[in-house]
Amino acid sequence: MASNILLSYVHKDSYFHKIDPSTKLLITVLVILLTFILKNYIHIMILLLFIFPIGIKSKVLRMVFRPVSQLFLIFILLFIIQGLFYPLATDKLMDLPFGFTLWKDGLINAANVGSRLLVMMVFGFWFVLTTHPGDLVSSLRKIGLPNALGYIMITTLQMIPRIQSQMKTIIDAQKSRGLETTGNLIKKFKSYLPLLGPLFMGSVQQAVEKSMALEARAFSSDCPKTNYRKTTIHLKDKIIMICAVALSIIGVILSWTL
Amino acid sequence: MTPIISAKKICFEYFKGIKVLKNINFEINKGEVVAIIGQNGSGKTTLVKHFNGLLSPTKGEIIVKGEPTLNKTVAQLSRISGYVFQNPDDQIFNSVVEKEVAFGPSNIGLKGKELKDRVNNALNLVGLFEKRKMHPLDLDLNQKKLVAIASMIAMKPDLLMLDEPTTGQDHAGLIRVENLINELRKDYTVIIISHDMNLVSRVASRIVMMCEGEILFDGEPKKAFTKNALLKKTYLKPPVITELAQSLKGFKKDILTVDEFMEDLMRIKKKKK
Repeated sequence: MASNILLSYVHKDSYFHKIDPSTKLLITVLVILLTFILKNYIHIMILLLFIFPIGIKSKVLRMVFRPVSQLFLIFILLFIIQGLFYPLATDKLMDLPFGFTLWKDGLINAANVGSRLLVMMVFGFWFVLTTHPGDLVSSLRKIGLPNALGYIMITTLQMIPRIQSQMKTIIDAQKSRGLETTGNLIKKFKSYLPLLGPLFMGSVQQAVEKSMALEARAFSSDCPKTNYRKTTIHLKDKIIMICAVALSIIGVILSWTL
Repeated sequence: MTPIISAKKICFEYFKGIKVLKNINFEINKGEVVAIIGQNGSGKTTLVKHFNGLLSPTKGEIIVKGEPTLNKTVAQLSRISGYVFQNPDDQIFNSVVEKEVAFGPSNIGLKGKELKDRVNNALNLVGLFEKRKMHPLDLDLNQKKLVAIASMIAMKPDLLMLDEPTTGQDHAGLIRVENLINELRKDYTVIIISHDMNLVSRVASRIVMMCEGEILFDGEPKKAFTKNALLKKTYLKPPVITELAQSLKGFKKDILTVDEFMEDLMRIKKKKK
């Protein structure tokens, strides 16, 4: 039922599904940091290559790229806008009709931003697809994440599909009352306004009810808590973490010295 | 006379391979009050959502007033078949009851006096005319449901579909809904989806029993509640008064109302004398 752009955990029997969430989180965070540290888009794109073995081993490679292909338009727009209107542009590539100019440094900037975005998205999706939210929170709690924050993380992840299905119900309810949702953009936008009220009210109401239900089950009690989903950091997790950190450092050094 | 809705051999699946509706044939004519009953998940709501185009069948076709629904939007079909959602909170968004009711008819192009008349009529019909200036969210659940129904009545569709109008209602609310349905049957064709067999047996002119995506029974209420094997299969319980009559010796098995029960009691008494 999940929509095509917003992904959620998919259960598969794979190596990366079984390792500790904190290991995967470290890999993802390292990758995101690297996209900012590495020198240019070519190096960032080399980073992208790592998703192929990891993705295949996790059995989610195709799913990781599916949302990316849907956001293809954004990447094209990025190149058009940056190529034509980059404010710091000095290096002209060619003149275009109607007084537009295509800037070389604009395109390079677009490539940098685009590749960074692409790599972050791909690894982010990989993390979400292979990590059960319950495992993630249980493992983060071990590192010292407060209970309430862990809960907020879980509910936020659960809320996305819930809001989507609620939105659909509300749209259906208004369509049944003769609301035309097809047509030009302004018409479309206008037609969505009536939907925000019920959605917002419903969400607030549910949040209140949820908090009461939690309190009724001793959420804020002081005694130490246990987790239903257990996670343990094994030796292999430690090895992977060390390797990931080492690889990242080597990568940064190579990127800036070569 | 062409039926208002005619469904021909429709199948529907939300996910590939999971059939929610299996080869359903269904027709509804002007003036009928049809009750669709069945367990949760038997496909009642799914079926009804086909009648105003919210869902389109994976196989088969739906014909609304002689025309296929295939290329029509829900908004267009809403003039003919009005579906009232189970949960009024899904649709109420205006700050005044009156405006909320006016939203539907203004979507289909009504203005001025006619719009006002329709809104007032609809509110009168559900008994909320006095509360027309209130904020809908200040009303209780029962009244919110009535606002939702009124907002559909104001659009004057040929067919009104009420999805579980009595869930969560107190006794007073139940009586109000029952009276409303009896009022509506004069001008509208009505489909109700309900788990309340007592209500259904009193107001419906026809009962459709659904189970696992199929229609197992389609006919008079009197016959519906005498089919014990069918009732068992669909996990439905006949109305209390029917059950009582069925468990007593000498009584007719198809009694639906207290009045009928009393009549039968008199008949049995006379016989004994």
